[in-house]
Amino acid sequence: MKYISTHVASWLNSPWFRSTALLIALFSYLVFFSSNTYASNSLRIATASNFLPSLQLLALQFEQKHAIHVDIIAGSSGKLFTQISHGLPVDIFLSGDTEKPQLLHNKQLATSPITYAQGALVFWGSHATSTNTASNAVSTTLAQALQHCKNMSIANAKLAPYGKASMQSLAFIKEAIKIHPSSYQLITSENINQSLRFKISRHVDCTFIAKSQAIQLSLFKTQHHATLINIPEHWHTPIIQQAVILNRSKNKNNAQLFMHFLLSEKNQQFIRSQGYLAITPLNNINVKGH
Amino acid sequence: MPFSLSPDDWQSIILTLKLSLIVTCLLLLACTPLALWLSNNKSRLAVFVQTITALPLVLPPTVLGFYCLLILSPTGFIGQYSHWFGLQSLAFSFAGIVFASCLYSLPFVLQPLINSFSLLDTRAIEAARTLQASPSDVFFSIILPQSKLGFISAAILGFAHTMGEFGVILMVGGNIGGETRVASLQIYEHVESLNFAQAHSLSLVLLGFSFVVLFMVYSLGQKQAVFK
Repeated sequence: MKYISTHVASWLNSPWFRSTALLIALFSYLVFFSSNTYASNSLRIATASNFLPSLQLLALQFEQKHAIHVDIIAGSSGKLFTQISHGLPVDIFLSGDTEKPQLLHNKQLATSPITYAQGALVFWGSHATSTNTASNAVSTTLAQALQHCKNMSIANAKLAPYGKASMQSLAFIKEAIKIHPSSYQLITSENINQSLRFKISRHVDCTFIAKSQAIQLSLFKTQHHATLINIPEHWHTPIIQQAVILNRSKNKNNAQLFMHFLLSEKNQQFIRSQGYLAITPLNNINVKGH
Repeated sequence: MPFSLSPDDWQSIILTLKLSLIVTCLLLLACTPLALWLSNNKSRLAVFVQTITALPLVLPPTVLGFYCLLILSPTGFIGQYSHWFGLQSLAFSFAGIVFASCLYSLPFVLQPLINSFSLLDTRAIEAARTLQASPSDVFFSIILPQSKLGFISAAILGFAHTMGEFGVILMVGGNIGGETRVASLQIYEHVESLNFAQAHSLSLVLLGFSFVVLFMVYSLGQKQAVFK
């Protein structure tokens, strides 16, 4: 008995025990007093990264208007699609394309897709070019800009809708002015955000970015404005972004309220001001879904 | 550069600390007996087990995360049994990222422990056994004091590796605010939404904090080594 008590006493006095005790105390504090607030009257939206900045502003307005807490999960459409298929608990999915919402609908996991935004493409070069809005002039200007281009980054066309549109635009201009493919090095990025970071950190001369990014960074108002070229809509297949309400959502009413809010003329106008194009509401009849 | 951290940023830091501490404690508890067995055993089975435990190093984190997601999903290998026990789906929950992180950081805790146990002075252990010391007495009086440094480096590696974890958590956790959005995911989200200033601030806090923790633990290790 005496042996045990001395043993315990020496153990209690050792620095080893003190650090262990500190660790356990901290551990239990974190386990029991961590804040985890998920309000009952809430809405969880998964969004493609490119729409995140606009959605954050819209969500603030929505929260004030309807007193519904909005929780946003951002990521690439592909990753979000995989996660939603495996049970990610969200009410609405704002995809960056049309394919994934359709697949979810086909799997009977979601309502039929609704178009909420259409992306616009901007070329960002290294040399100032004369800006002219006429479509013919754009191809000449872009051809000039491409002459100065030593390396260009383009988002992976297989994964990113903006990447696909960029490749189509490049093909279009090569066809239009019969230029020989210039000697620039092509760097494939994961998505347009990565392309933008390559360009900002000057690892590439030129890139294609989303107009919404250019507006968010106020590029049109800085000295960079002369190096930006708006790509005409018809040079590539439209970058349609569609949304679905998940069938397993427990907040369907809130979700429908949000979809109406998102598609309202006022907010569509706001979305256009953030660098998106006007959408044609042809497939937006069944907002109510199933 | 304006330095600002939002409440969400702080929440993500607390969550990261909570995750790292829980994962480190769980792994230390689970790896100690395993490492003791592996360091004493020269059989084919031991080699096989040791190889298996090193495999999380091979797969890229996002791929590992993808397989964790498949296993944990309601129809998956573990997911269907967790339903039997009345548990909620592990995927996209805090418990899920604890599970995935344990898998991901396992080699970083196990390896230092095996190394330190294989350097133990076996004569002292044999002497204690001859004097009829119980196995637990041998462990607490001889093995534990002798392998303090091993435990410290295992804890450091496990903790730091979990702090910086990204791909696995992004896949398994689903980036849910307050539940699975740890600091690395929060930084990524700031970068993705082009809030570079906020990303820098949070990275700075994360680096600063990790530096302090690691420095404290290393100086503890240094003291132990001096007094030995």
